[in-house]
Amino acid sequence: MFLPRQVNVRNRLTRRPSLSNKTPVDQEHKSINGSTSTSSTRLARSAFKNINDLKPEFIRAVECMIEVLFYRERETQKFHLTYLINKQEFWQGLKPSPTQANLKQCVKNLKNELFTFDEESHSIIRNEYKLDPNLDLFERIVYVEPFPATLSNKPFMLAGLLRECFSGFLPYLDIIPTPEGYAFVVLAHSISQETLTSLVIPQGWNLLSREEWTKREKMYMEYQADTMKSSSSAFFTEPIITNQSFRTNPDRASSSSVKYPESSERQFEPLEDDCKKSQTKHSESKRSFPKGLLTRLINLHPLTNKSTIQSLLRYVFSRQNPTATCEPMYIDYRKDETEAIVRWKSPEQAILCVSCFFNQKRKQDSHNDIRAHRKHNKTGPFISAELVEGSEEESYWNLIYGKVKI
Amino acid sequence: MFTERYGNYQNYYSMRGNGCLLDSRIEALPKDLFKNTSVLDVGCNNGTITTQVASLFSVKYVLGIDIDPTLIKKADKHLEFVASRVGPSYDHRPMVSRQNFYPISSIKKFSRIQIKFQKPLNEEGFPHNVHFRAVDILRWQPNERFHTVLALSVTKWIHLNGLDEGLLSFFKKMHAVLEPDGVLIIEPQSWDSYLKAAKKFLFFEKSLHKIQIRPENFPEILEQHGFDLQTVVSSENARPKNIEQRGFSKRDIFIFRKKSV
Repeated sequence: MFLPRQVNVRNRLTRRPSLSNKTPVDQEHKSINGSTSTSSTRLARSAFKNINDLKPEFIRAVECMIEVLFYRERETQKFHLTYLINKQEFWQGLKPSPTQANLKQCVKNLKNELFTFDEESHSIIRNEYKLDPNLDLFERIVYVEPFPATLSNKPFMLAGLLRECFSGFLPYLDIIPTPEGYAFVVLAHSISQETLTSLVIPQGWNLLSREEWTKREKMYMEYQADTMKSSSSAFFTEPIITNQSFRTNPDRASSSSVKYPESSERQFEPLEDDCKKSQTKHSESKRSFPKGLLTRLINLHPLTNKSTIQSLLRYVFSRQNPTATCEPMYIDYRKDETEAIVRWKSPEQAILCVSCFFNQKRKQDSHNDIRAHRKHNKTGPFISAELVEGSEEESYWNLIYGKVKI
Repeated sequence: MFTERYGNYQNYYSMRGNGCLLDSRIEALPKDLFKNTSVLDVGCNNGTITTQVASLFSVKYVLGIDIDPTLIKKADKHLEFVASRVGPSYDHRPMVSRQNFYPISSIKKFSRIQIKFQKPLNEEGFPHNVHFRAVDILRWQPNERFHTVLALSVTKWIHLNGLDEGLLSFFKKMHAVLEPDGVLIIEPQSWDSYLKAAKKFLFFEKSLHKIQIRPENFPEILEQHGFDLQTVVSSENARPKNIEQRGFSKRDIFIFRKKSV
C-alpha cells in the first residue's frame, strides 16, 4: 500500500507548483484520508513523471540499488519503497528526486531474476537466487576509473552506466565509491582482465580486474622507489633552454634540444654517507628502522598544510589529554592530499594520537544539536588516525632512506 | 564578485571533453604543426591541452602561460600527475598506449613522482620539456621565439579586458613571438559569447560598448598584421560525429602562417 510520508517543509517551500494536470494519478492515492493525503498527493503529482520521462540512467541506478541492498542486508526478504527512498546516500547525483510514485513505475517495469515487485504492497520481494559461495570475492572486484572523474562519488549512477557492459556478470553485489576519481564494483561472477579489455565500455573509462590493479600498484611502488634511487646519481633539474638551440638547429630531429646539467653542475647534492648507506641497505635483506613511530591521518581537507595539521594535533591532544606532550618530529604531507603521515618522538605518543582522535570523533558523534552539523555530511567525514604497521611501515622507511636530503 | 574575469575558470576541464586522450580540437589539426617544434599555449588554464600536446606529439619544448598563478600551480601538478601515470616502454610502445597505465589510486596513495626525479619518458624529454608561467600576455616581454602558438578560446577575454587596443597588441605580440614561417592556431569566440559574458559581469557590458572590432573581422586584421590564412578547421570536422560532445560550443579554428619577409 501507498504509505503517506511526513511532508518535508523545506522541499515544499522550494518546490515550484505544478501547473500541468496531465500526469496520471494512481487510483490508490484517492483512498488516503485527511490533510496528509492532499499534501502527499500534491507532492506525488509534482514529482511523478511518466515512465517515459524518467531517464534510463535513473532506472538503471534504481535496479543497481536494489541488487546492492539485497546483498548488503542478506537477511532481508522484502522492503517497502520508502525504505529505499530514505537511503539518502544512494541518491547522490540522481535526478529526479525519488518518490513512491516514480519508483513504483520504475520498478514495475524491471525484469530482474533477483527480485519481484508487489504492486499492492509497494514492496520489493527477494527471489531465490543463489550465488556461488566458493568463488573468491577478489576475483569479482573491478577497479573503475570513470569519466568524468566526479562520477566516482556517485556509486549508483556509475554502476548504472556500466550495467550494459557487465550484463553477463550481474547482479551487482556492492559498489565502493571514493572521492578521488576511482571506485570499485563487486560483481556476482568472476571476471578477468582479458574479458574486461574485450568489453565495450564508455569512452574515457578505465576498468581493471583486481589482480591487474594490484599488479600495477606494485609496479608503481617499485617504479617510484627506482626513480628515487636513480635520482641520487643523476639529477633532473630544470633544463637549460637556449634560444640558440631553436634558431640554429630548427630541423634537428634526432636529438632533443633540452640539455640536462652534467654531474658537476648539479644544484642538489646528496649527503654522500646517506647515499652509500641507502645503496648498501637496499642490498640487505633485513634493515633496521624505528618501529611504532608512524601514524596516518586520513580525511584531511585537501587545502590544509603542515602548520594547520600541527596545530590540529596540539588541539586534539590538549582536549583529550592535557598532561600529555605532543611532539611530532615530522609531518609528511603534500599539498592537495587528504592523508598525512606523522612521525612521532616515541611510540607512546603515536598510540596516544590514535586514541585521542578516536575519542574526539566519539564525542562529536554523540552530539545531536545544531553544532553537530557533521551529521548532515556538510563538512565531510571526521579526521581519524591509524597506526602504520607492518609492510607499509617498512616500505615507508625504505623510501625515506632512499630519498635525497635537500 | 566575478572572479573569473580573465576566463580563468578553476574547473574548466573537469566536465569538458569526451574522455579521449587528446582534445578533439587538437585531434582535428594537422600533426606536422607540432612535430619537432616549440609550442606556446596562450591561456593554458590547468595545462590539460599543453600536457596532451607535449606527451602525444614529438614536440621539442612547450610553454604554457596563463594570467592566473593558481592555475599555473594546478598545471604543474597536472603535469606531474600525467607523467607519473605513464607506463613503461616495452618494445618501443608509442606514448599513446602508455598513457594512464598506473591507476589513479596508486598516485593518490603513494603520491606523484616529482618532476625533478622523473626520468625522461620519450626522446624529447617529456615531462622536462614542458614549462608553465604566470604572465599577463599584454605585458609579457618574451625572450624566446616559438614555431607554433595555440590561442584556443582566449581572444574574448583579451578583447573584453583590453578592448580593441589590447586585442591588436596581442596580435602584434603573437607576430613578434613567432619564428619566421611560424604558425598561429586561433579559436576565437563568437559575438554571442561576448554577450553572455557581459550578462555575468557589468564591467564587460561597458567594454562591449567600447569595442568596435568584431570576431568576424579577425582574419582580415590578422592579414594586415603579417599573417596568411592557411586553413580553417570547421567545428563539424573538429568533433567526431559518433561521440556526444560536452562543453565546447561550435567554434571554428583558424590556422595562420606568419608571412616570410
